[in-house]
Amino acid sequence: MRSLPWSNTLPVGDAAVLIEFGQVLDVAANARVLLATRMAQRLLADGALPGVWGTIPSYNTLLIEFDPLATTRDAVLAALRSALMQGGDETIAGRRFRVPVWYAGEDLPEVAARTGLTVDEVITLHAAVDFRIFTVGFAPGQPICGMLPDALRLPRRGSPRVAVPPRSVALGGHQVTIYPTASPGGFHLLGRTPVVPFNLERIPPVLWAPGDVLRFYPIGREQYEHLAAAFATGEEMLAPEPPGSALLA
Amino acid sequence: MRLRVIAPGLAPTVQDRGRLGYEHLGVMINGALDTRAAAWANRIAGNSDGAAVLELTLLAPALEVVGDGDEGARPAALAGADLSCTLNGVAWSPGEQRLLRAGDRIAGAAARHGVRAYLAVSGGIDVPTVLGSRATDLLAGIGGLAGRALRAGDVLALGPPPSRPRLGEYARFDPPQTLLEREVVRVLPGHRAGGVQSAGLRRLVDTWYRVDPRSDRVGLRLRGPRVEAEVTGREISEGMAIGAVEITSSGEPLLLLRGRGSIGGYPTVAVVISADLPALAQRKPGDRLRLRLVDEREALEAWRAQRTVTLRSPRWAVARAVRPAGERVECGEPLAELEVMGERRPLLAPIAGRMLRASVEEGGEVRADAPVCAILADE
Repeated sequence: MRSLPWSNTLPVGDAAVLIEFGQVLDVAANARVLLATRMAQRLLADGALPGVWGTIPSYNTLLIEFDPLATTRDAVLAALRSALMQGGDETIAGRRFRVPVWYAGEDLPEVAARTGLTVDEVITLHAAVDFRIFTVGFAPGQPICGMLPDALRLPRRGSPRVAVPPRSVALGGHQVTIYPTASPGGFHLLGRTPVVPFNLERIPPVLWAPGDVLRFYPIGREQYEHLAAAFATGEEMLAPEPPGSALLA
Repeated sequence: MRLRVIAPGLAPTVQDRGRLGYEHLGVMINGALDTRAAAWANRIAGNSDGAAVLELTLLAPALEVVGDGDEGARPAALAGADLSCTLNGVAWSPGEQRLLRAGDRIAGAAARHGVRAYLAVSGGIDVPTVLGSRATDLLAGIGGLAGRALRAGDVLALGPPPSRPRLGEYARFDPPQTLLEREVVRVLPGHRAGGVQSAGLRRLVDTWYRVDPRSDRVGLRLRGPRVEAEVTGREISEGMAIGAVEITSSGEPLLLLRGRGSIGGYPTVAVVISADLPALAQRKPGDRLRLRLVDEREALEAWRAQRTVTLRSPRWAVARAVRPAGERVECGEPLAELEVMGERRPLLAPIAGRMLRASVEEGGEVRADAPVCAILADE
């Protein structure tokens, strides 16, 4: 018999349980989170997780929210465990999106100064890495990605901005993100993308999923404005690269 | 019939039970913060618990009822905070049903008790559903009316009034105990507290705090003694439960409400029990608040008690065919038959849920206002 499909489970209040998949932030732990989330979604769709009303995957944890008068923590964990034991070898094939960025963010000069790089070097480094989407959260469709090369790591801003420009591409700590809307934000702003991460008119409304990979590339202002107009009307939509083209697992 | 906003008051929003099932995509739940009061308003107005209502905060809006022709009056109800509301200048208290007619005016003055009041109108507020819900998500700008709080000049449509089966009568039910003035809120130890005996948790509980004015639908910030979290510097963000008591990097407790974002990085040192979440929504800036540690058994008992609705007979009768415990009942379905002077009439469920118990045996007598059965209301 195989061991448990997770490393630890922690009760969170009377209506949730947090499942931990390892103590550190790495791709393998995150892959197990995403598989467990997929299993949970499948069980929910089949009506096999009665009483469960929410699942929140993050880097190395999965929070499951339920009505404690309709089910129990043990019943939820047992159902998920048996699904993972049966189908736990399934792999999630990540897609790769190439995301255009107009690198003219407010914090770009400061990021360059504080990392001891030139602005061009910051852009080159940022656009040279495949970033894995560890989770989608904070705001609808917002990808939370890693890992940022050490040379670009900076602590978050001392005080968060009340509202960042929509579709800002930003970095903070070891993370990279795109703010879909004008939300509060504590990350350093590198630029903006014309790509729309969340659009209710679209099915599915969220462009990408955890496990997918983002690769940024620089564009100029004119191209940014042209693409922004096309993406905004839904006339154009960012498609993932065809499978097989240098896909990162 | 429609509602027109004359003056918005303090950012009223359309809410329902929330946008469930999309948290893994970053879509937050939202919905009425005092779920109990919102359900109560709906029940009095004759709606199902999930109908969309207006959530009014501290300062009620001025509204006008606009007619659409020869339609009659519609039942409406207020529940939750007492915002000194009036209908055509006459006091309208929480828990009371009124009939709205074209030309009627609803207004409010100072908040007397609590923070959030709910206005339910028969048929519910009819805005488009977004991912299965009408709840306003102010951060994402979706749901409700154009994803924002109401403004002067906005017009809200109402859904078709629920059709009621004829020749039945509705069971009476007890009003919920008020949660407007509850200063002590019960918590369970949090999973990042470093144990029940940790210094951080012990410092947090049984201490008087005041609600900070920077509180909003996302959460309540508490002003008072700072708490040092035992587990500091936890940088890996994780899913945050509703009711989580986070300790920010400056040592300030932050209690998450239903408008929270799904992921956070501060350590969860305690979690408010489900039964006390509605009370949190009614604490206003400056109010005192204290957290008391309980065990899970007490938490679940309180939650069960809060969701249990005892249904009473409208008159002295003989009870027949009372539904057995465990059965699922929908709003408007018969719960029992009441026999009076040879006539049998169905007693209908005013809410959906699960039968908890029958309080009267087959053929037994039930006096007016005596319990017939109890339902565990859906969440």
